[in-house]
Amino acid sequence: MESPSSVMGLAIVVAYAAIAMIDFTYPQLIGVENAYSMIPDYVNTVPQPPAWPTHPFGTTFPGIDLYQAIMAAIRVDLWYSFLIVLVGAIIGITLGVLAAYFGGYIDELLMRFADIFLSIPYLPFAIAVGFILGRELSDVSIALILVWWPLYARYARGQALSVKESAFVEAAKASGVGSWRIMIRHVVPNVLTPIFVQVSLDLGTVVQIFAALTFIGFASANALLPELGALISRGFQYAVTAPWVVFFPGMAILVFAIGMNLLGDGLRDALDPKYRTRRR
Amino acid sequence: MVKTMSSSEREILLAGVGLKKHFPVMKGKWTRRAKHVHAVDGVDIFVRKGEVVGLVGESGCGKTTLGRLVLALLEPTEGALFFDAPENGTRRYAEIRGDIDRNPPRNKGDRRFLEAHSFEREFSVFRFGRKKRRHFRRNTHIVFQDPNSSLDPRMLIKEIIAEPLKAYHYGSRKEIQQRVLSLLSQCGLGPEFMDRLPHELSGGQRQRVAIARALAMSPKFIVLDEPTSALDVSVQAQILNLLKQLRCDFDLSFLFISHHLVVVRHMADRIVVMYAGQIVESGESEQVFSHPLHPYTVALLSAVPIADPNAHRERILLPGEIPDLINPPGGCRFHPRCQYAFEFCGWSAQEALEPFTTVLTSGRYPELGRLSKIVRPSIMDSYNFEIVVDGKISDNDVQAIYGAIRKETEEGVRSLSAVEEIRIQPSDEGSTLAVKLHHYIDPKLINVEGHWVKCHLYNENGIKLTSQSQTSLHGKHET
Amino acid sequence: MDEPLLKVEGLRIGFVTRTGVIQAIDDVSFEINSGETFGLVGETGCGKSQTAMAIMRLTPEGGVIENGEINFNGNNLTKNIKHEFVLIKKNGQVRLKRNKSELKRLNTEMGKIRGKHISMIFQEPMTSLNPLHSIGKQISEVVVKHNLDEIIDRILSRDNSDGEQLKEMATLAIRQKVTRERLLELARTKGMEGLADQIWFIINRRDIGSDQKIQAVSDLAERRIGTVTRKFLTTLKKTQGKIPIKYRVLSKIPLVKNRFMGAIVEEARAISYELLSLVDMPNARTVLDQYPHELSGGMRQRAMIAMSIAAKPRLVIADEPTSALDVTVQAQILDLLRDLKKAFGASVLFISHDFAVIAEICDRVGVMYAGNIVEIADLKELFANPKHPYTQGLLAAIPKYGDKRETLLAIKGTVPDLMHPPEGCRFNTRCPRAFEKCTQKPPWVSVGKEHMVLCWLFEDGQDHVE
Repeated sequence: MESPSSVMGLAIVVAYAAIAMIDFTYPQLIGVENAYSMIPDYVNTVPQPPAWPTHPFGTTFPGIDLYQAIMAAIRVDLWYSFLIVLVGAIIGITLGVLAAYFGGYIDELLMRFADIFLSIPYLPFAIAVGFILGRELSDVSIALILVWWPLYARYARGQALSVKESAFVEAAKASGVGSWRIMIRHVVPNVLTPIFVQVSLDLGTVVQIFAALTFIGFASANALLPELGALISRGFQYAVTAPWVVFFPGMAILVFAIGMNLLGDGLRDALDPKYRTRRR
Repeated sequence: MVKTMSSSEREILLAGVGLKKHFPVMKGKWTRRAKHVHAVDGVDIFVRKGEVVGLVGESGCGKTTLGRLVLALLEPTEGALFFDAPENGTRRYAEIRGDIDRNPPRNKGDRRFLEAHSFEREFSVFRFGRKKRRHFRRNTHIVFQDPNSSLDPRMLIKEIIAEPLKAYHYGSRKEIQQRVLSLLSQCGLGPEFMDRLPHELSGGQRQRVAIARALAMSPKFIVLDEPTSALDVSVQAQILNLLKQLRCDFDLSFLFISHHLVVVRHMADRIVVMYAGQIVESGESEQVFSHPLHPYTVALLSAVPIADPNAHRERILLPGEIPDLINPPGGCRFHPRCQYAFEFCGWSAQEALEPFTTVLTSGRYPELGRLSKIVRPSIMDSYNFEIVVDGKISDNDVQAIYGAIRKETEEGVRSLSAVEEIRIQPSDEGSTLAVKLHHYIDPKLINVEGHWVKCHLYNENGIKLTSQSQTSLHGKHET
Repeated sequence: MDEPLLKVEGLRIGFVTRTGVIQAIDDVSFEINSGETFGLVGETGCGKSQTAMAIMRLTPEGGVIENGEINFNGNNLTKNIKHEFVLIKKNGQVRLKRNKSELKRLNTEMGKIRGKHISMIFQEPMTSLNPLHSIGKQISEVVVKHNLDEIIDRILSRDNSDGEQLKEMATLAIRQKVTRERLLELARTKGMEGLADQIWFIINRRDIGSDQKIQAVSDLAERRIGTVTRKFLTTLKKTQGKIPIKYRVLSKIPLVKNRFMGAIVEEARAISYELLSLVDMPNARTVLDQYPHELSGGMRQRAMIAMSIAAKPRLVIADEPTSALDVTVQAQILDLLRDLKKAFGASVLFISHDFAVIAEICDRVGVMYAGNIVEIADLKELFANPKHPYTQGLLAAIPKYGDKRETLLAIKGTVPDLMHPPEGCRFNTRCPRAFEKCTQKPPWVSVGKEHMVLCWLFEDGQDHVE
């Protein structure tokens, strides 16, 4: 927690989270007029370079103020990414721990199942899902969740297996503690800690992937829903003449990913029980 | 083994009979080969009330596995475990089992089987359902070697000690707290340790917590698996003193597992020595230490370094290594390394072939010079091998070979003592020497001078055999 | 020799961490004479391993030798410690800044000493042997690096030898049952010094008869080398191992390299085999090509010992070499070390936490506690008359083999935190005989013949009864 880099990471992430929360509640605070839709200006459709104070980040086609769009988009992206990682983690960890607990053919079954999904490259898979289900953002989310959970399942299973063999688990057995209770009280907490770090790192990655997918064409029914990938896609054709059009949305993604990464590193150190002196 | 115990001692608390644990060797994830690691291979062990039994042996002898088996933390491949069972029944059971081993039954309906099975079904811990198992667990516990990994790093000390109490619904929160405080103090730790985490404690303190946890439900029997091996000498002294005191205060029984012989001698009433998954010697601690009978025990004790520069000891250095438990040596498992091994101890053709050919080829026996051109040695079965030699062999040559073998055996090449007969067979490529070895016999645990040994050097009367009477052993075993 | 082989004086080592400086070694001084085995005994954290590492100048990252002198064979290994680092105190935190060029120079200098003049045996042979290289390769590596001269001598002297003369020599040696030194002498007179080791090895083989041995020795002369190789080797000898320029390019090309280096590699392998036999490695021939994970703990330790004596060092540092081994294997290894000591006459710094092992093998002993040596004495003297309260406590805490049923005397308390050690004598928090003076740094006094203690109780050489 003390290292400067993780503090910076924390600061970035907190800032982004704050923006997202504000968007949700009282967007005007940061100057966003409409958190759910970008506002085109059909009068001045040509992208304008950044100018203070009207358009701090410039505008993109057709006349959408980038600052507003990005601020609003942050909420959207964060929301979806968070959802994906959370759901994926929950599914993955549950299955992984169960596989480790039961062992035998259940373990094999689950792991083969996970392997199948693990071997699928996300891009073609997402496109395939898009073809079947539709191109809504919710469909993208589903695709990504399906691709993401096996990672956690594997990881959780490995951790659970090693914890299962520890002396303190054997001691609990000898103390007469029931198997389920051992799972819940001993195995899961010791498994969760390293995974938590993984989760935080993944949030940064997923944001990028999500944006990448929206860039290639997944979009919400509301074509004007502010979303970072969509923004980049929108401004792509103007990239050469009006670079700010892709620069700012891209930076928004990048900074978040870096921040999350730094935070993840810091979390790893902070959650090591050696740093906790009192609990409750 | 159990049957000839003296009855003046206290009753038996825990008895393991015929314990075996074979771990299958897996190739990959699925293919289960027919190979097994015979970690524990036919062990009878018992602990009396209030007694400390020391279990010693080197790495790979199976003592850790046995420690887990007697607590039913592992399911055995074979065997029964009795805890607080009627003593007469237990003795009778062991008797029957021993009898069955010696005279295998001809059919399933054999009365002995039925009798043994019914006793087992009722009293063996391995057959217990959940309820009975819980009762067993309540009365037993374990302290591990590594204080770092035996405590959940995320739990507070008070939670760690309270865990067994909660599992058995000891009482209200207040009562549990009281009990934890009392346990901590009995183990030499003050109340300030309640809210600490394991990593904040030193190794010795963690071990104390582990002991406190083991004592929580006032068990009668505790397995201590190398409890002080990871601790410094001065801390070790503190922990050993604590254990001694607790044992007195609460009339506990311990199974004290350790490779550290001096510590075991200090703590144990009785000692059990294990080698390659089997018990080779057991008896009163002082007796075994002062008059070890089994050659392995002798070597083991002689190898222990003494903290006294003036002590000189005749050190017996064992050749070779601890045997492979997947294919342990036949007969007596110690025979490849034993300096007293003779013809019945377990020699196989594979073991005797090379020393035999060396006798012919090494040049140490010039009278055998003509036989040194070996065309091909081949092993026919476990007790027979043949060597095709270029040239003609006469009866005198065979006599010379016998002489050379005798000399080699005296000098320490014990495998050659198993040669029973050498015959000449003519063949196309020269002459063939057909060598036949004695069949070996599995040694059984025998009571000698008050303690138990598993070694052919001792016969039923408990007398140590010298080389002349070894051949008379032949006669005895043939019947 | 009158001058001690190793002299450590006033050694002081600190470890710089984020939270402060750990004073791991406070003020350590001792000497090791030629041919003696000096034991360093103490519990975890007392600093014995770090002392050993300091002698090899292998103090890990974050650790600095702040003060002191380490003198090996007249060579001051700590000449420039002041220049090697700079301690920067900033905002209450201490930072370490190392002088890269100075360290580089140090490494080059120590490179000539490590492995050759001072070698080390570690506790965990699995981690100190490279799992990717065969045993033979690892030993050969050491041999080629440090014993190139010897290798070349052996090859060349074989080349120059005469079968008949060798036969004579072997017969004589066997009949007279010569010792190694005598054989060396004999060989020298006949001008066959380079062959002495090889002859010695063959004569001591246990698996063949005398006639075969004599034949084997005389066969040595049959192994000749080509003219090109001979020229190469002779040049190599003159340049002391540096490949001369005209061969340098050639020696890099794979196939051609074998032509030149082949003889050396082969010879190194033979020497490795001899070393393995010397350490009683079973199946030495097979072991040469095996990997560490295929060997048992005892065998790995033997391999390590073989590596450490390969260059015939003058000082061998053994850091808990038997602590990870079973009792019977430990006995074998200790026995081996004793034999080797006799054969090679090397000095040994033997580090252990086990007094019993120390009693088995050491001549003199130093007891360490929390970064200080608190007592040094001859082995028998230390056990008979331990003076320092810590030594006494430690000896009393060991379960004795003979007695039973007694409560062991335990030293109360625990080892102090070395970041904030106690004032004065570091043992004063636990000492049963501590008094007012103990808050000052205790004196290093003599209490008997070659018996020194770090304690106020013996200020004037008298034992003050408190």
